Amino acid sequence: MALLDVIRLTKFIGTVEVLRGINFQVGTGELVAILGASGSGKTTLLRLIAGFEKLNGGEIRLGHELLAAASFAKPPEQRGIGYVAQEGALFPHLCVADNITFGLSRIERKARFRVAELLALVGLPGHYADRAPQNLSGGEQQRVALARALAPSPKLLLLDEPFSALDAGLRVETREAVARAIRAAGATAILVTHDQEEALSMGERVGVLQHGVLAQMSTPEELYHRPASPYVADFVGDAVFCPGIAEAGRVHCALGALTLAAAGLTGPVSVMIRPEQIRLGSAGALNAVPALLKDVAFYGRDAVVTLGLEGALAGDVTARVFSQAVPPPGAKVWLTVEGKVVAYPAPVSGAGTEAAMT
Amino acid sequence: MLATGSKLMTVPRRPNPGLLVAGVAIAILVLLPIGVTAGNAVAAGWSLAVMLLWRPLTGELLTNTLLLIGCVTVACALIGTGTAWLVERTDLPGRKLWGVLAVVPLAIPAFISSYAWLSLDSSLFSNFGGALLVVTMSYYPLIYLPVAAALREMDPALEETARALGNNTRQVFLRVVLPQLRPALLGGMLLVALNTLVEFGAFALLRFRTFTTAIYAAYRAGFSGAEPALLAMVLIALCIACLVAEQLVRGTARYGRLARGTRAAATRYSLGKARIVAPVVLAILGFAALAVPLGMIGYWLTKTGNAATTVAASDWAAVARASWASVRLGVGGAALTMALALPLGMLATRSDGWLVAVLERAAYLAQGVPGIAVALALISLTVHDLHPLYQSTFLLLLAYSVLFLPLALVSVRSALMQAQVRLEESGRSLGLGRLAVLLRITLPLAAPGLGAAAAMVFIAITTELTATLLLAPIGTQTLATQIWANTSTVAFAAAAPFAAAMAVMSMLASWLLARRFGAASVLSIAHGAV
Repeated sequence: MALLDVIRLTKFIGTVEVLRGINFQVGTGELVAILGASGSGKTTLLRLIAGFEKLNGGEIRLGHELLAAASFAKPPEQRGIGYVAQEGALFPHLCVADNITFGLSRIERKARFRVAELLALVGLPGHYADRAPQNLSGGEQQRVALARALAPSPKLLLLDEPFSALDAGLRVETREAVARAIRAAGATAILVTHDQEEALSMGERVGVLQHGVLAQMSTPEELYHRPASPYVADFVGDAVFCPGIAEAGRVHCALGALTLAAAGLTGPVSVMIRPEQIRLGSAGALNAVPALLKDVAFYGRDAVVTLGLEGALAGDVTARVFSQAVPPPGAKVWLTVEGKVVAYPAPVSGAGTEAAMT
Repeated sequence: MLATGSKLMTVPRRPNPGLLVAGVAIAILVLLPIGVTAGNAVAAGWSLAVMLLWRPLTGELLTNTLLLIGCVTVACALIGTGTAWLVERTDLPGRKLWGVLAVVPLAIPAFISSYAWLSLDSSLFSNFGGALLVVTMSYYPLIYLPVAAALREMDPALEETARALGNNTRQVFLRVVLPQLRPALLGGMLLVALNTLVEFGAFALLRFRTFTTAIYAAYRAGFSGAEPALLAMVLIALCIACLVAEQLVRGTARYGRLARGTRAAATRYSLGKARIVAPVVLAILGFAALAVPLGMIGYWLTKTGNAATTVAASDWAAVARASWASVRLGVGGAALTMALALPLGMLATRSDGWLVAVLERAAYLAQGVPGIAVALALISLTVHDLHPLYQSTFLLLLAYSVLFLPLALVSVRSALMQAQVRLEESGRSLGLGRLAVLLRITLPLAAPGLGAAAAMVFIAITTELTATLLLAPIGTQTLATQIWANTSTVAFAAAAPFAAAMAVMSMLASWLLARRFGAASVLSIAHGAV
């Protein structure tokens, strides 16, 4: 039985329909990430679940209880849903301990109920209890905000881009600490983010929100390797698209004859290949396709190479390869594709093969 | 978030010796009134001092003053915060207009409001209630402005988080909003207290006895300089206590905003049925704070030639002469004040050291000396020893400069900060000399701020009553002195044209200032003009 049930959710802001018939469920103890570009409606979705805004259509249910419908909205303070705002929103006039116990009863506040336990849970030392929020780093503030949201044992926890304001290094560290704490607390949580790496690494399931529509919701692996649409494929990672002809579980394209992840598609298609699936090999390799190495961008561990394909299907593709033993620009290389690929029905109007390539 | 601004300069910058000498001289000048007043008080001798201070009059004055201050401060806090909440946080209809109307009373001097209420019914308002009403209606913007700004700056995520943690609207206000308003609210309340403490004209007209009016009466009685000086010392002590408390509130209790990113607009609460009541309450407030003062002036303007116009039958030529005198004094005073503020500002922004810090503090301390004390000190200094200065225009301008130097200094300081030393150094490295740097970099960058400072001092001077009344040379009649003279003799119709001219001038200048530099600049006039 799902804990949270979001049914045909619709929301207008002014005359703009920012959420269009959103359906999804979150199971007890699950951590779901909602991934979307800015303006996709992801923050609005979270605010509707928290109760800060009113919806225009559909329903939100928690357990068996109706939280919101077109004509009904339970006040946020009665929902029992924890909320961690973008930059933590710690109360600047209260110390860490008073922040953490803010949502508890007066007696529990006096007794600093569970403060030490919660600080330990989010990976902060116990002596932080008396510190002022101003004296914490951004990452520490986020952890305290999480501890504060967890203190009243909410049925559901909402995290609104909690790491977006942090520096790159701190972000990974804080993200891991937060994920650990949520799992240790056994909390059910929804995380909203625009960072695909964050969504894929934290979410047990990830939903992609595209202009107010939930384009796909599945496990991170499924989302990355078998995206439901070219938009999702492009949004969750780098993607190389090239035109091809599908037939009997295989597809023929500029990169050779490749195996499809899902059979059933026949005729002209657009093939999606992840850059790291493309390998540089030697002339003798099976199914290898010749190409000219045009450019190398060095990223440390990896390098992204631009490859010019030869022959009738000429065009450029990019590949992400280990940076060791990358031939110099101008070299002739042979390409192979590792693993299965995904294909989408080709657009009817056919904007030209060249344009479809990256 | 910790402040991460890296300090560019770690080497202490030595002050320019010429500037330092000028700065010391200016600081001595500014502290002169306190010194003279203290000297006169001490000269009275211990036994006389005890006799003069230890009597029922002092007790009555203290009770009157403190009780009034307490009531005014609380009333202003309630009205100011309530209005700010309605304007910033609810779906109040016409909130932009109400927001403007809540600031306009700042441009109407309290003694003009007291004139208006008195002329409505001189017996009904000549008491504690009248004083409370007039001063509250004049000073509640001093709370409204900082509290509204604090409400605007507050991160809405704090309130949302508090709600998600199980608090209803009322609990959120008490546990999250109010604690964060505290610095703005307390600072505003102390500012109201300070303004009430030094207000003279309004109380004198309303025949309500406070320290300022008692000092004036003692001076007029003219037996000795000891009594006014002793009373003035008590008043100065109260003022400085307010000032220090205000600095403490400002300095320590400001909660830095934790969030750095862009924020959503603040949540507006639905007023529900109160949506009809709230505008009515605000309309009553606007009526008392604006419609009565301006309406009464308008009413009396139509009564010229009436029996009420007796003592100083005014004609428009007299109004023009008085306006011109006010403007002249305003321009002269602003120029002199700026001339004194610039060296101090340069020292404060371009050099370090304990002496510079002391000089700056001294200038701000002058804020704790009310106009009546400055005026009486300058009189007692010049009446015997420096007689050529006595009753000279220069002495009056000097009094203005001492009174409004703190006001000018705040703006001059921030204006000179605009022209960062970094930029001046870039100029030097591009081959400009010191003078060229001053003309081509420092002044163009600081000019708007310096202009604002001069404009604020100008407005403050043209609406100033106490020092003008005591120090104006014989024959110099300004708008303020004419309003005073006519109202004191119950010639309300005669006072009306002068009051109208002052109200128009002050509101126009304040409006121009606010449009260019924001409403906060009008607030700082009230802050500096105490």
